[in-house]
Amino acid sequence: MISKSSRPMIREDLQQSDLKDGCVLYDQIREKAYTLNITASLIWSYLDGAISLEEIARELASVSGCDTDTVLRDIVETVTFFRENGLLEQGAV
Amino acid sequence: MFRRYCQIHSFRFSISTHCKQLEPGLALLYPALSTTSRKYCAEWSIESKYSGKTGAHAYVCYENGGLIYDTQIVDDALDYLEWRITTRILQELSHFVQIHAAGLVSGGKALLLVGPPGSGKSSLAVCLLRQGWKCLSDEVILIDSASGTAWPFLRSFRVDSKAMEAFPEFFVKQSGPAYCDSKGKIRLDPSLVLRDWVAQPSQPRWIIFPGYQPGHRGELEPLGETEAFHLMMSQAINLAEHGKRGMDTLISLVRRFQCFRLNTGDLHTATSLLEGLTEQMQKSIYRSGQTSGGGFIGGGVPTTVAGGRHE
Repeated sequence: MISKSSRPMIREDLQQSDLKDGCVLYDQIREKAYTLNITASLIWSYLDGAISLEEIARELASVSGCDTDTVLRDIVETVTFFRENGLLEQGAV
Repeated sequence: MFRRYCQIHSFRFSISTHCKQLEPGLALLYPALSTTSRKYCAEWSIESKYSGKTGAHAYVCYENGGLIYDTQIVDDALDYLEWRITTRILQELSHFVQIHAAGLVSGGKALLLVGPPGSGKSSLAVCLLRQGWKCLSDEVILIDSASGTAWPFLRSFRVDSKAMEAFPEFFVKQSGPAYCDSKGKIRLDPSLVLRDWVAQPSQPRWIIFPGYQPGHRGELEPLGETEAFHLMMSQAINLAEHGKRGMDTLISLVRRFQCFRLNTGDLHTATSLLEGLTEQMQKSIYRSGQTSGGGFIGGGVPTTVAGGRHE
């Protein structure tokens, strides 16, 4: 279960190619690719296992001027997508 | 007996029939792949058989002498045969990254119309051929991963019969019955539109995603790299075989070339918008002093097309 205190970490074996307005992740094991838009790729860039989703939300809210709760909701939704697609390290959530 | 020897890259095959009635339809399948060499490594044929018992005709398809399909509907038989041959050709050419796209070439640069079957690629290809563009394919483009060059996959066009109403002159030129596939699309020999229609392998310059929107005034909407990549990936045929290298090929294409969604409700507007791209390129060449030879080399990329801005 993803919560605001979760500290997810991205899988290090995924290959990432940055684009101007997002990025592409390639999972060599499953032979699947994922495209992330600019918001999702920004969230992706924070997921180092050390920072909680709540802390990410506060930081992004201060930069964007959006409401922290709204930002947190978007982050949880996005990270849930990452987890459901096996893009995060097991047990790091 | 009708027999045609064909070659695409190193793959050689033959198609044949003893049935006079089937000759025009068979001749329409791959007119531009015809070769004089009689060597081949795969053979397809189609025959008409009459059953004395039922009094019905059957059309029977053979692959290397073995029966693979039979039907009482001639369009179905030709359709199946074409599908079988195309599938085999694509297997033989699997070293290319294959994309569902039409490819048209003007001034040595290719415009790729990327989209699923039925998105209007072939109709737009006919329009651009009429304007003097040459053609790589109306359905599948072969991309060389190493160079990014688009290679031709030549076959007869399959044009929506409704769209063909815009080109009545080609109905007249195409002798014999109007050969349709099982979805009602008309097979059209592109040489009827432009005699010398085959393009040489070319570097892409524009990637267009056609989106038919009835009543739309028409625009080329610039697309970001991520969305363009996503759309390209959804139309890739054999990406799984190429893995990361295939992904990198598509990434390179969307990074290097202008990508647009073509929103339009009619073919005439769409053609004008696409023609506008080459005019922009020619102006850029002129401005950067490259008035002859060599083609366009970066530097003067047009930033505005049909009111849109491509960053």
